Amino acid sequence: MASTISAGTTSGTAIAIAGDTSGALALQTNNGTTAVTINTAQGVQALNCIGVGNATPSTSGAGISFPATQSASSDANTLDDYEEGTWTITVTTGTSGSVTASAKTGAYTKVGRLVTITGYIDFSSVSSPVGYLRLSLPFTSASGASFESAASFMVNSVVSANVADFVGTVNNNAATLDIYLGNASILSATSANQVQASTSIRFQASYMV
Amino acid sequence: MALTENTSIDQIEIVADWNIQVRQATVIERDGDFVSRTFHRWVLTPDSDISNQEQKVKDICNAAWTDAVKAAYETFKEEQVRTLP
Repeated sequence: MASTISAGTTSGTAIAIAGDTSGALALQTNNGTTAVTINTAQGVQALNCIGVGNATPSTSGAGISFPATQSASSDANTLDDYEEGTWTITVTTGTSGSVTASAKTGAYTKVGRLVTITGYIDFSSVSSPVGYLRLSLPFTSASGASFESAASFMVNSVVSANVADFVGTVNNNAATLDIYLGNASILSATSANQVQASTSIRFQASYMV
Repeated sequence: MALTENTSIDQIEIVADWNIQVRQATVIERDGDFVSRTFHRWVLTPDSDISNQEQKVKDICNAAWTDAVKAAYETFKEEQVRTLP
C-alpha cells in the first residue's frame, strides 16, 4: 500500500498520515533531516529534544524539555516536572548562639515531586551554638509525618561527639532539615553544640514536595 | 557571535502559607537564540531577613506575611519543637 494522507476517514482523527507498509513514517525538516520517526514496532523516535507542555525543546543534547514553570498533573502515572539547580543554604541553631560558614553550597534535582539534594558546609566561626542545626532547603516538603524523610551526613572535626552519630530529618510542610545526635536511645538536639570553626558537613537527602 | 547572560528572578511561589520560594534563572543566549538556563533557589519564612531581597520579592513577602500568617508560623515552629524525634 502506498503512503496516504486522508482527512476524517478514521473516527476521532482529523487528518491521518500513513506511511508505506515497508517502512516508518518520517517527519523531515526542510534540509532533509529526519526529526521524528514513527514506527509501529519501535514507537516514536526523536532526533533531539522533545518539548512537553508547550516548552521550547532545548537545543543542547537530547531529552525531554519541561516548562520552566511546572504544569502539575494529578495523574499518578504522569511525569510532570524536571529541574536542576543550586540553592542558598542557611544554617541556624535550634536554641541559641550562631554559626558562620566560609563555604556552603547545595545542588538539587527535582523529578516529579521527588527532590534530591546534596551539599556541603565548611564552618569558619561559631558563637556559643546550642541546640540542633537547621539547614534550609530549596523546596517546601509535603505536609504530613509520612513526608519526614531521613538525611545522611559525613561530618568532620566536631568538638567531642562521634562523627558517625549525626543524623537528620527533613521537616514536613517546611523547607528545613534538622540535624541531631544519635548516640543514645533517643535523639539529642545538641548537634549545634558540636560545631567549631573547623567543622565540615557533607549531606544528602531525598524528599517529596 | 554574541553571547549574553541574563539573571533574573523568574518565579516566586507562596507554599504552605508562609514559605516564599524564590527562583533565580540565569539564561545564556547566542545571538538571541537560547543556549542554556540554570536555576538558583532559596526559601524565605516570616523570620527571614528580606532586606537584601529584590523589591518584588519584598512586596510579595509583605503581602503574604500578614499578622495572622506570622502567628500561624510561630505556632508551627513551636509545634515542630514539641514533636522533635
